[in-house]
Amino acid sequence: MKQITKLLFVFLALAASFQMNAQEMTITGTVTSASDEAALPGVSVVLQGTQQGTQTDFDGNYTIEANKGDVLLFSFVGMASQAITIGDSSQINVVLLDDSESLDEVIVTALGMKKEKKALTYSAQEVKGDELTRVKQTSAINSLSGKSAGITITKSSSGVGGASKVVLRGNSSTTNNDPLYVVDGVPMLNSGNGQNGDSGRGIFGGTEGNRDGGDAISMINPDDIESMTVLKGASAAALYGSQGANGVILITTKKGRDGKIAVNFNTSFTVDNVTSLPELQTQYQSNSVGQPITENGRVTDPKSWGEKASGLSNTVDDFFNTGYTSINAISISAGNQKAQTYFSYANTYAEGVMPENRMVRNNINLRETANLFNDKLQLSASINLSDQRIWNRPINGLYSNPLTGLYLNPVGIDLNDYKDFEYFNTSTNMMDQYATSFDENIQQNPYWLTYRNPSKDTAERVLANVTLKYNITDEFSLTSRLSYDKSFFTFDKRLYGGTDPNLAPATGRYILEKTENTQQYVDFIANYNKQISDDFGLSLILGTSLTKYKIGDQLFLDSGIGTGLTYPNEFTIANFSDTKTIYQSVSNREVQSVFGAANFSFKNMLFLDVTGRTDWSSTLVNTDSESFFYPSIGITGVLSEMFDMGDGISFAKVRASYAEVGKDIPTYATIPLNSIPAGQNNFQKPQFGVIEGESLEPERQKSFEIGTEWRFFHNRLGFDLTYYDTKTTNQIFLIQAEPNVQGYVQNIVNAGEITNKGIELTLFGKPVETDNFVWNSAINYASNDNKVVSVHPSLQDGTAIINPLGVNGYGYALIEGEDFGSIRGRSVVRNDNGVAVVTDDGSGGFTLESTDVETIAHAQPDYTLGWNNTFEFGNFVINFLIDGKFGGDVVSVTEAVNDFYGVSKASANARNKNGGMIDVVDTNGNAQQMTAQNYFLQTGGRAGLLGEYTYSATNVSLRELSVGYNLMFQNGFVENMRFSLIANNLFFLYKDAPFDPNIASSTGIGLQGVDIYGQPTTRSIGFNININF
Amino acid sequence: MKKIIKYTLASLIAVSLVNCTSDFEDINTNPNGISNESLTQMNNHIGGSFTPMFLNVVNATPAWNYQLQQGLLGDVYSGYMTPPTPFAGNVNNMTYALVDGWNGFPWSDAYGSVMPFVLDIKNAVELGGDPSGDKFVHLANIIRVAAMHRVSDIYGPIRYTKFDDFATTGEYDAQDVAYQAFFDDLGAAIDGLKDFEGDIQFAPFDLSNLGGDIAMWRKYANSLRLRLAMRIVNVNPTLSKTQGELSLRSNAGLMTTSDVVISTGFIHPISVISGSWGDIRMSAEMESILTGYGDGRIEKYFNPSADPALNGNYKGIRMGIDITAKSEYVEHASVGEVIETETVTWMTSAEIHFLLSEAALRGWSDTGGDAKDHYEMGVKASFAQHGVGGADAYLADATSTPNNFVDALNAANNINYQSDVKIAYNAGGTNEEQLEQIITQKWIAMFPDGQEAWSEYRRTGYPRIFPVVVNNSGGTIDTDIQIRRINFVSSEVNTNGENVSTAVGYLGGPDNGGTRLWWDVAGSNF
Repeated sequence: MKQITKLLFVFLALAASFQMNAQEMTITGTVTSASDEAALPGVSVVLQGTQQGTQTDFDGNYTIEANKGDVLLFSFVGMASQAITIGDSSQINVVLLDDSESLDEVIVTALGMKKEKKALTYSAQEVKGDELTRVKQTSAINSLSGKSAGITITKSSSGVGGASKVVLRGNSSTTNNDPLYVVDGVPMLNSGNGQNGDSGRGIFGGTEGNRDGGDAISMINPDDIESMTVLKGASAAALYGSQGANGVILITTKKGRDGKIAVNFNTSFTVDNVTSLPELQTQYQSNSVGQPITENGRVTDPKSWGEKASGLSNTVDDFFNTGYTSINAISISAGNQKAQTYFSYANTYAEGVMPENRMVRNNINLRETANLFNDKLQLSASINLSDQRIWNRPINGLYSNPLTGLYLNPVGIDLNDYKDFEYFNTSTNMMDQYATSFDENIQQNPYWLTYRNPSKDTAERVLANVTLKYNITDEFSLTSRLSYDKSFFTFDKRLYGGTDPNLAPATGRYILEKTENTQQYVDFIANYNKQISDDFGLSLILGTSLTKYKIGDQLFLDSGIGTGLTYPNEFTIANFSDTKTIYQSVSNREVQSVFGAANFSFKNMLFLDVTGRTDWSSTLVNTDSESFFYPSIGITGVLSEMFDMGDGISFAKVRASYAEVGKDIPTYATIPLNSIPAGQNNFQKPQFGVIEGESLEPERQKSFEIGTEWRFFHNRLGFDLTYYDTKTTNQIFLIQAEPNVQGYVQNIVNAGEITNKGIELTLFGKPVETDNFVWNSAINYASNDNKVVSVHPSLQDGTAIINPLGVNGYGYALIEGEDFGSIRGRSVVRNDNGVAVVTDDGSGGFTLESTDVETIAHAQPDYTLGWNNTFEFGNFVINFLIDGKFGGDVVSVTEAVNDFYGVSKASANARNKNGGMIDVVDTNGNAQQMTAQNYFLQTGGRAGLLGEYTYSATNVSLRELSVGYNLMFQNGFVENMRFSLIANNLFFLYKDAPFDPNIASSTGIGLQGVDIYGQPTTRSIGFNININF
Repeated sequence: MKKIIKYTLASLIAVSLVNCTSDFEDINTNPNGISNESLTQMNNHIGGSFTPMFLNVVNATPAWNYQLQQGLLGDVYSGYMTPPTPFAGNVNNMTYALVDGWNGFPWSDAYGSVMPFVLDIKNAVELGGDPSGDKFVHLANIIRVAAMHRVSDIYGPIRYTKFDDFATTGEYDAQDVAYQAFFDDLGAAIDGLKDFEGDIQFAPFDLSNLGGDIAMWRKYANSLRLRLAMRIVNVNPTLSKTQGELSLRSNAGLMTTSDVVISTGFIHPISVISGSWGDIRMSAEMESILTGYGDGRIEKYFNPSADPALNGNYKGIRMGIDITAKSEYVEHASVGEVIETETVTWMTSAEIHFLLSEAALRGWSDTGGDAKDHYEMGVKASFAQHGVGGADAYLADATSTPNNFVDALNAANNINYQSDVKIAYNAGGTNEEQLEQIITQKWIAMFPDGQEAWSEYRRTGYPRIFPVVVNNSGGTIDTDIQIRRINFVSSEVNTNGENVSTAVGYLGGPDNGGTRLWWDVAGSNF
């Protein structure tokens, strides 16, 4: 409350001091290029701290209204920006230096250090905040897709507020492939509450479904982001040691600026509609049609293998709503040279496409920066509060999922009759579910699941940061940062009595989860910079840090499926009639680190980087060493400085680097203890342990990369090319236990080798540039060749299972010699002509011959391509992004189950052809026929032959489109206004799979490349208004 | 200025190098875990280890685990129950396509929840050095035999005698070696526990109705020995008789008046599988025999069919038939009130009477009555167990025979019961005829313990279980000879391949469902 009061006070103070300055004058001038003294058209001229600005014309001339003392910022792609304070003169001519000639273009790198981009010895790609918010998504990270080479982003199927799976340069680890997020120099805790990080709950999904608990990155207000830098390789991330193995995404947030008060208001509103729905049939009705329906709604046959009939319809479309997302954000920046304030507030409200799915989020951010003691001491403090509530977050999986009952509804039985999802059960004197069937426990009334199995996810987050920097001399400074990051999650699910008794007892079931994640971080860094001579420069860093984690600190309270609740449908824990299913868990970890870096520069053309870091991790107790060391070395040569390359080449450099990073081992792995598992009344022995005589060590990744960057014709054209080769060894595997006396089900071992080799190419240019038309274009291409070279030697067939096949048809494993992530299943055996082979079971029935369990798909793309274009003419700006993923295969359990129930269009098509018979051949080679129904009952279903449901994951989509119009106001309260029409996920230019392959069933390690009744993808269309005051 | 720099750097390095990692051990210890040391309080390191064993000889929870440990193996192969559900497109255990993803559970339950806990108890007792702890080792060994003979009766060779030593734990015993070890363990327990009779230290940990009474546990161990002795009668009649007569003569006595029932605290899993899930129903054999005999126990074992077309009859499903949809047979007779308890029965007194009856038939000494006496006592014990009256009239019925099976939906599944075995004991019949009567009644009495019933069927060939209609075994299981075992589990093949190869050698046949176990001898029982 105190915080809110304080924030309100600041807000009011800022508003009160709001006033207009009327002493405007007209400034004119010409902008030219330093290298050839030619006039530069299209240079952006902006009043610092505002969005007010203009561009130079074809002759390099500009005119702008400004006040004395204002600062004008001149910027142009590939050239060094310049800031000029307006004095008495109204004529300001500017000469811009080519980027290569300037020292100004800096980029934020590891530990928040700013470095000249040209000195980098590794690949780093910066994406500016406005690119991320042009077509706004509720999670800023999703906006990165297609905008940086080598980053693969897969959204979860849970819709608004869901987590994202982000992979840089391919999967390399068996435990976790999430990059590290670093906000303003401090590593951020991205743990959510749920599947993020674990392997998903499998095909069934359980009572809660494969639930996405969200992640912390999605709770950041996209409007607060100044820029994101993607550090893909180990070299860039080596200073993060055990956290850097999966690459790093650095986020720089906005801060207050010196100058007059700037207020920005942004509102966006999009309408969301489902696309990529499964194709269902309306030709063959269920045998239930015309049969009696019982009091509780049960029909005689839940499947749809009956007669052909006309006039059938399906009402799947009716079930989904038109969703909408509304994001309103305001930010205020103000300050003087001593102190600056940035404040923002954002409100996000979304109604999902699934009924009763809503999300509301509020973000408040306050950041103070100050320069004290003659700028000797720089202080920055920020506090970030987020509050998010999601009702009925969509899940995937077969159980508890409204979509199964929806799609599988017997054809010809009107789902509208089931909108009234309950009836009064006179024997229990309470309401009970009215449903067509509970077949296989995967069918329930979708409306019942929506209204009588409601869930609510709450997430609250506090992130507080303090940074102190003291400049002892011009060359020597000390920095210390403190951060406290805490999230509170509550998950509340209520299953009313009448729910499928497999999932909830007759009295109902109540699940309440309370989880906290905490990260405390402190570091202390000494920085020394010295230009030793005209030719030699040196920069040294030495630092230490301490991070404490308390993740998944959870109370799990579940009334269970035993006796459930004492009094029906009273959802409070005092009403639990047994307490077998309650437990506590937490994962504690502490990492202490010492790190150092040395950078040498020679004549501003040759740069050498050496870094080293040692981490001590608490997870390594009882192993051979509690610490591990991560080195990196890199070198860059700026060719365009070394040689005269002519006018055409503005900039050229080559770079090479080598690094070793890693990852510590899972918490508690070295101290196995007994536990009391949920649902049992007795203790359980440790489920996994180290193999007798072995020890564990951290996972290690060695990587090498070389790259080159070229720019031509005053940066009209350029490219950045990188080749990398990484080898990850000592992976942590949980494998089936060797025979043991401890009762371990699994052994935890270091083993295996996974390699990733790839090419990343960024091509950017300005193909057209005239007085009133500019076309900017950028292509991001990345290919990755990913191989599991070896797994643990004890796994005799070279297979490490992640999701076992169990009683279903889908499995996920890592297999030697194959790409990372082999999707496993069985397929129909076919003869040379592709005809399915059957055996005659002796009673005239045919059984399809099936293969053994084998690899049926690898979900990862071979290469990705993003093509981003901006057209500017006059005040109009059009932007579109085409995003493509090529290669890889995905599997649809949805289609398999739809086929099994006879509701899929494919099942109707097969019945329409060939008299409803499918040609097969028996084991003796004789041609035979089996009914389509018999065929699909064998290939389909959750335990079916999923090899038949494999589709190419290749897809190309028009991911983003925006049409913006800029309005400038010369004299007024409002400075400028931008109005944009925006669209996201407009359509697929190409897609083979029956669902959107860019949506993941799990953002954890398992359940990749498979759709199990996930929420269909949505297309969003709307508008965005941005106003600067 | 230089000084400041120097001191700063020095202190920075100092801070870094004196990294305080002394509390890492604490941080990396799961605060919600329970250490072995902690478990020594109130002797839970010994006593608490019994709980998982009690709950996993026959798995008590979750129901799907039971379903895979036994529900889709012994319970169906014994002819007790059949699922109406065409799991995996009807290509599954019921149609002899053995599903590896299911069939590893009897193994993992035993090696996760029984074997290591027995070893823990042994180690704890050894460490304690108190000879009064020996009773716990004997009790643990009794439960271990109760669990592991079931596992061996599924797969054949198991890891048993060499389990306790890390170096040899992966090695298998041939089934005859394992059975000899079972006899040794039981014999040692029966003898060793004699001195502890009256000791009540086990009482707080005993989940069974034996109430921690050591005398009762001796009785149970001795009864178990009789069961196992009879199991090997065809393959090694000498050892069988030796061990059997040891039981008959033992001062421990036999469980002739009391059943062995475990209070699990969880509703019987079959109740969930049959009731909530609708995934198990009455089998064709149960229908044929119980309705043919007019057996009153049918009302306890099953509920009348829910399908109105079946007129409230007890209608069963034949195993291994063509089923396209669960809805076809789901409204046949479901399992009745016998499983509506939070208990699991390990052994019935009726079974002991039937064992005694067979022992008498085989001419073993000290059976305390002839075959007919014990046969009738067995039937009466079973009627009494289920609270059903009319046992005398039932036993006097010399005409009723099992009915032929008529499938309610598909005549292709109709089959005649291959025997006219009757209820009233015919002491004048051949040995085989008498044995068929004994085993048929024993089969009825042991319901719903399908694992034991399947083993006894394989040993004796009784009752006359119907062959499958659909055989998806690819020729490895002969339809008429029927399934004899389950192949070794895939996790073992994956992680313990060499030892599994040796174990396959012990089998004397390929590692599939068609190979007979050691005690399973084709041909006559006499």
